[in-house]
Amino acid sequence: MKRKVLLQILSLGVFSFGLFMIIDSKAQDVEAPPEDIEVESIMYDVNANCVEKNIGDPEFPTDEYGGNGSSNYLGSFLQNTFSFSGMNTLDEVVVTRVVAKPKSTTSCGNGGFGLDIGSGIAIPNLNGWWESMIKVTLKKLAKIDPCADRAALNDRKTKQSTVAKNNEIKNLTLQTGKEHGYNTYMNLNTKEVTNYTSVDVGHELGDGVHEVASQERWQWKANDQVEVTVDYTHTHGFESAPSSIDVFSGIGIYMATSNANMDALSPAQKQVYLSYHSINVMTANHDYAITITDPVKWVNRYPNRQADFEKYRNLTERYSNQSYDWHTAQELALIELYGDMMQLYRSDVGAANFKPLNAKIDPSTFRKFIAINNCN
Amino acid sequence: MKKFILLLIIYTGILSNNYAQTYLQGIEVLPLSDAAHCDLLTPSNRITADDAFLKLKQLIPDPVEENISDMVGEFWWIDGMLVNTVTRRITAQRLKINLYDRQKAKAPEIIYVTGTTPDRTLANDYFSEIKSMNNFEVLVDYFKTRSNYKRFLVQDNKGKFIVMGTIYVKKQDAQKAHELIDLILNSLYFKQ
Repeated sequence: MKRKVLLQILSLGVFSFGLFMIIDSKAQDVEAPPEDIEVESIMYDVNANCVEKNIGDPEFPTDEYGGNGSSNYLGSFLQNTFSFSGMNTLDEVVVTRVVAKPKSTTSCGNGGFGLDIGSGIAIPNLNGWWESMIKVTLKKLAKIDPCADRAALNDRKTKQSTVAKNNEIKNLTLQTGKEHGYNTYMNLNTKEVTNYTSVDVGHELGDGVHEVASQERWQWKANDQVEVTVDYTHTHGFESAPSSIDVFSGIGIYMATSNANMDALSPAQKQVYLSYHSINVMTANHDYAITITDPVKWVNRYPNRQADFEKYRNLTERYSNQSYDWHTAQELALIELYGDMMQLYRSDVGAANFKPLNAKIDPSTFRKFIAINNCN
Repeated sequence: MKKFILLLIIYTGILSNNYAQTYLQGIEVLPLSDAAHCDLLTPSNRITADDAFLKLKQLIPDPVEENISDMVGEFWWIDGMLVNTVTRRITAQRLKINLYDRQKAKAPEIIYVTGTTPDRTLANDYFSEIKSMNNFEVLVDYFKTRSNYKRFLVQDNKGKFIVMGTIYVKKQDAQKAHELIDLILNSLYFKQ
């Protein structure tokens, strides 16, 4: 009997000691920070169904993407209402215009701004890659399986024309330290890359603030064909991950609504646009890509992006205090903030080896870490 | 037997109390006093991580720190503001930070559509400064009005230590926090 009681007490002692060790390890957190851990391939389940949602709310601020209301930009897209429904995984969509308005080829009537591609303007000498670029067709980002999308992103990154443009903006950033960016035009009907925009040179505003433009455009062509900027790529000349502001690159095209001077893309076209759109950030430490997996949340979070940026900064500092390096802290912050509406991918600098990133919790330390999905 | 059980309960109680009385936590975090001297931030007037978390929730309704284990480093309560420092040694694995790169990485980024007016709301409220003081370099950065968090990042001139500092403050006390950062930095000297 005594032996049994002693055994029970001994068990209790061991249990309480074990409990203390768990609490203490959490309190003191003395273990080395986990490195990036590579995990098995997993299927990705996102909310692919887009519920009907009015997003032309006039309360949306007409700033950043809204501009000053100039009719040939996106300034007026917030004044009307449109809705969309259906899946964001459509394979093929018959592209039709919803509203039959005259399609001017001037910069004011086509939803595009300025250069009308294919209108006879001479294409500059771009060291030969233009010829190979003509036939580039983009693979769809289905947003169902990040491993399939990873393959599509890697495929894009190996295109000779993309390599040339990426090298161009990367070298400019190395020379000046400023951010640089460009957009990729795709024919929404044929899925072919038709052109790249000129390089946008960023500005430094002081206090470390960087400002760079994105040429978000769409242009109506003959036979109801549309060209649209599906990818936005820009540089950060310092250790970092994409910022929370970067996540909203390209949302202007998706949110734009038709008005007297401009035909926006139809809801079906917007679905196609989103299934090819990616946001690319080339930093000093890695190249990153982002795809939008939940457009409803993307649109809903857009008005809150400035408050979200402050939260993103504070989350980054929280992870940095926990001994993560800066870009990992930013990756964790970004996934915590927007992981329910986007997928983050990371590649080595200059390489085409994007892999999906996810945040997981280490069960022994209760700390989050970046898990790389190798897609094997 | 009863005595043994009583001892066990006391032992468990002491362990729990030990956790509650944590003044320093985090991976490879040192006391600030091991690296530097600061009149305002002495070991004797620190508060515990538990107290700091309670104070934080009084100051900020929805902080990004979700529980006590997120309260890394050491804490002081000064004039209605919560001060936090996280001091670490610079090593081959934890390199000295390029403050100019870090300044850019922390600053608000503005992406705007060509032809539209960039929205500089965040940038206009943002303050960031790199300067040399005493025997260290520091990056101070914060949103002047819109944030409860004011940051400073210090590295000593000998390249031995990094101190990540934060003042948690109510927004209406922002100016007080900016002045407190100056007071802390003015009285901070790294040990030679």
